[in-house]
Amino acid sequence: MDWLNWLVYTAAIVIIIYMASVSLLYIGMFLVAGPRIRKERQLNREAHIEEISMNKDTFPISVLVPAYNEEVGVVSTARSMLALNYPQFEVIVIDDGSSDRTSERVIAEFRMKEIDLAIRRYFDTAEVERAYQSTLFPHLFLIQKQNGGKADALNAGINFSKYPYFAAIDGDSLLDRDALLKTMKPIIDSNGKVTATGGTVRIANGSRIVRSEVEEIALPKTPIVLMQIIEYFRAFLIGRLGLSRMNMLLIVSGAFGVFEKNRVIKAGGYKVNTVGEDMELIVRMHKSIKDERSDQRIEYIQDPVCWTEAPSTISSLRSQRRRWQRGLAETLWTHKSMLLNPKYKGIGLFALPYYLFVELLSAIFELLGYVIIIAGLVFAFISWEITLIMFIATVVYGSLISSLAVLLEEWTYHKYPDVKSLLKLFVWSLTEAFWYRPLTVLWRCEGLIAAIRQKGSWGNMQRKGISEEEAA
Amino acid sequence: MITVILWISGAFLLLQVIVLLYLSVSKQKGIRHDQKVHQIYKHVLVDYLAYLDGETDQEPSLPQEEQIRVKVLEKLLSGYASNIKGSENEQRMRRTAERFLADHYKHVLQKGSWAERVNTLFFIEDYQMNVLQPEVKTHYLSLKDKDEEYRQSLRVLASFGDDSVLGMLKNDEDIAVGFMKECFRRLPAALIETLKKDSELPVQIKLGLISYFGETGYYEHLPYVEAHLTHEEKEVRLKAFASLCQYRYISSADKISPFLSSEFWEERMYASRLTGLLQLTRYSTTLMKLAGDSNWWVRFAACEALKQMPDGEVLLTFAAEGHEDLYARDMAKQLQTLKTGVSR
Repeated sequence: MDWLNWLVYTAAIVIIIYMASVSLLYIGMFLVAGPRIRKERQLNREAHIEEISMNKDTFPISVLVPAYNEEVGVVSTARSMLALNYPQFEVIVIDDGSSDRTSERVIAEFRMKEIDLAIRRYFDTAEVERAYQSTLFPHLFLIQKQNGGKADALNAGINFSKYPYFAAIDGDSLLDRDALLKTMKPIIDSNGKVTATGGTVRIANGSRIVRSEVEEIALPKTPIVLMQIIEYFRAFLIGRLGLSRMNMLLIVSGAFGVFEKNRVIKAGGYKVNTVGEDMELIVRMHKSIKDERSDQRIEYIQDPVCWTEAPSTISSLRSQRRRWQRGLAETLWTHKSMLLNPKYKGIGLFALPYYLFVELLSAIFELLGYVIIIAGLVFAFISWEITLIMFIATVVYGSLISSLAVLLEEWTYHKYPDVKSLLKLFVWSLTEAFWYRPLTVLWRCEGLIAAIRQKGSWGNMQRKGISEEEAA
Repeated sequence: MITVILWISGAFLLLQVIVLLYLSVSKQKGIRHDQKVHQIYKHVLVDYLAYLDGETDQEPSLPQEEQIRVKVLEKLLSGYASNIKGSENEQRMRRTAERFLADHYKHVLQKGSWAERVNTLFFIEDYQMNVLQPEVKTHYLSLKDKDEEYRQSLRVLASFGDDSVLGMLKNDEDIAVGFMKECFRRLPAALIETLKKDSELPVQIKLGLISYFGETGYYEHLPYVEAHLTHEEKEVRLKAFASLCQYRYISSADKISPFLSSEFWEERMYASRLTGLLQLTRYSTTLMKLAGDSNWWVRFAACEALKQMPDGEVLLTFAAEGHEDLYARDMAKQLQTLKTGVSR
């Protein structure tokens, strides 16, 4: 049995080294992201965008809202888009062959009238059957197409849209009134050198949202949603900002991102038959930028806020995490030729390996770690010292980074009205390693297996609707 | 080994406790500070507005503590700045801002954090604090990064009518057309005339200027815009066309003709658009032909232009039913049902 002992010890040491390295990497990214957030934390953001809100040179933009069986939230989302503070834009809701009353609700609510179609075909998509224009808001359109998945719906939206930039927004999301202005600002200021931008996505559960606007920010009561809030802070304020500062951002969230249409067309549009179309597109855009030796950039900005409804049940969260992991695995597999390829500089040498070893494979390392800790305690086949070190590494890994993320959130947005909310977030972040992380690790491993088996779908969550008026 | 790990973990735990304490204390302090500012603001608002409006010479007293006083004043003056009418009120606001805030702002420009400096530059412009012109200029010259601070410094100098802004704009090759126009909107008319007369203007500035003229709609600039319809660079010609679309005017309709058959689709598109905006029925036949152009945007602009003609509905129906080109028929059908606005 010596060989078994040796194997377990070696695995344990590898896991400890891995967890410590990942922890240090995260701290490194915090040190890259933190100063930027600190620098801008007292900035008067309204004054910052005042000029472009009135400027006739602010690029017009098409807002694409793909919707599949979103009858509960689609009207609320469309209304939130119509209320955006932006000089010139159109909103295009794309009903991707819904089997519920998604289209009927939009048509009735906004008094839509059918229009004839003369669509450009940048990309082939499932057949677009009809298009409507609102008689109340001429810049609001609905297109009805056969089901082809979210990526296909977005491609159809790009075909239909008329402006040089587009924003892709999930059907269950709401945007702050100034979000589009803030997201477009880096593109305008850079004179087009920034080709895509992504903003911060926040979880709306618990906050009071009336008539598609966030009136009061508050924390939800469900621990599982609370943990997702912390997780989002960490992912956006540390992960994405850190990578963005090095021009290595690989994900612009599917919930909300702004893109230069020409660049997306050059890159080939959204890839259908993948569940991680948002990340896949960004990787392909980076590839196209590097292949052309262009100096264009993709940026994340910490401020613009898109509100989304987080899964509040174990089963919907599980399905979401499996889908995310599968999407990540598929994207990395599709672009394996870029991995460690010096031609793609930071993207090939750092960002892709980071997503492979930290975001994708960490689930396996962590799961193995949990197994060794539990088995070590139960069967005493490894020393208590090793078990203790692994346990500490696991706890410290999550909780320290989470608590730093809460700090960054306070520097960025600081909208929680009291100290109690911050303390609550902080205390919950300390419990992550004991229940939430093991669960998500397990689901991520399931997602990895599904990716290997090529199984899964767009996946849907039972929506409650986040706006009070909608829920009523 | 275990001891080292435990020490490191302990240090991390301590770090977390420090972060927690810092968060609690700073949040509490921030909330109290905001409440205090809001309370004082509410207390002095009515009296201070009366003072700013010149209804009384009695200036309401403000708190001694500088930080609070500055915040309350900024809140008062920002609200006032967005609502004032008339130069007398502007003067009073400016005098008040200069009296109470100028020294503080000088200090911030020299020693403040990046965010404080940028905020201050916005306030200096809002309150029209011309007295700080030398400080803003010195500050601009000391900047290394071309970020928001750089841009706002230039905006402020332009709003002061500082003629050195022209040189600054000409020397910056990376400047965006949109930002250049932000400066033009602030500059006095005399300086704009100086730019117009400059025969060696960089193309970028020319683009900004032509675009700005279209936005103003002032007819005295129209000859300058029209003269650029024949410029050797395509971008300049297109900008001139876009500007004329905003003017909704051209001195002679004959000038459009060559562009309707240009080799560049963008020129055919703009020419079609202008023809529609001006309802030049003599080009209806050409537009009908362009409805079947190889480029989607030209087809759209041509059909949109046909729709704007006095007999637009008839023309579109004819195109939708009888045009020899399939794409033209589709586009005409779409335009028949689509409600369109004026494209910029």
